[in-house]
Amino acid sequence: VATLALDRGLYPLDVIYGAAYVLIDRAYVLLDKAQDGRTLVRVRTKEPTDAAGLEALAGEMANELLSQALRRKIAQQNRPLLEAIVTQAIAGASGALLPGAVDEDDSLDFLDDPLGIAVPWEEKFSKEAKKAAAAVETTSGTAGPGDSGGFRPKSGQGEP
Amino acid sequence: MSEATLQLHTKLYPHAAVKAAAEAYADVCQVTVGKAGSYWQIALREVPPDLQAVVAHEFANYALAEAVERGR
Repeated sequence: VATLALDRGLYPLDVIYGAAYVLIDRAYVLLDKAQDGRTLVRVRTKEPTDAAGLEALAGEMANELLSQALRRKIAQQNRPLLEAIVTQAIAGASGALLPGAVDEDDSLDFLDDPLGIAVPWEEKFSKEAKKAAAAVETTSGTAGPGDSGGFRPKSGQGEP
Repeated sequence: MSEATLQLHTKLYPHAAVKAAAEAYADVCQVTVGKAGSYWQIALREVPPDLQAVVAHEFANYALAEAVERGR
């Protein structure tokens, strides 16, 4: 059995858990507490081995502890960035928009007509406009009996 | 049939993890879990002879795996 005594400040419990979990399929791992507060990790190979094999297992455990500690530190450093990304993704998926996410164009108002399709009310409904429209209509054809004043095709329409 | 005993520290092995391991091993042997101070005292009785050498270690591994998975 190889025993590692780990300081809690250097190797928190979740780091020890992570490292032990990696080796658990090849070794028996037993955790314990020492009198001085350190965490004891006892590892034993599942298959019979010599002292060199046991030492290699202990070394692998120590390396894995360092790896897990580094992963934990990186995860803590990246936590604010991850939270911001997730928050933005959830807000986008739910339809809510974050302030400043959309470039709002406040330069246009209802009087602007960038496509040139608006017709002023005065032009459309003034008496002069109605008279002009009526004059155009009377010159285009003469009303006769049965003329309801509705749609009338232009005279000569369809002729060559 | 024989007996094996095991001590697991309560701060390292949550009760739920030990309980889950005990339930899993109930089909293999008779499991008794008690508490003495800072340790869970686990007694494994009526262990099949072919498992006698490893049952305590396997139980500890199982409890550790449960502790890790529940801690995530």
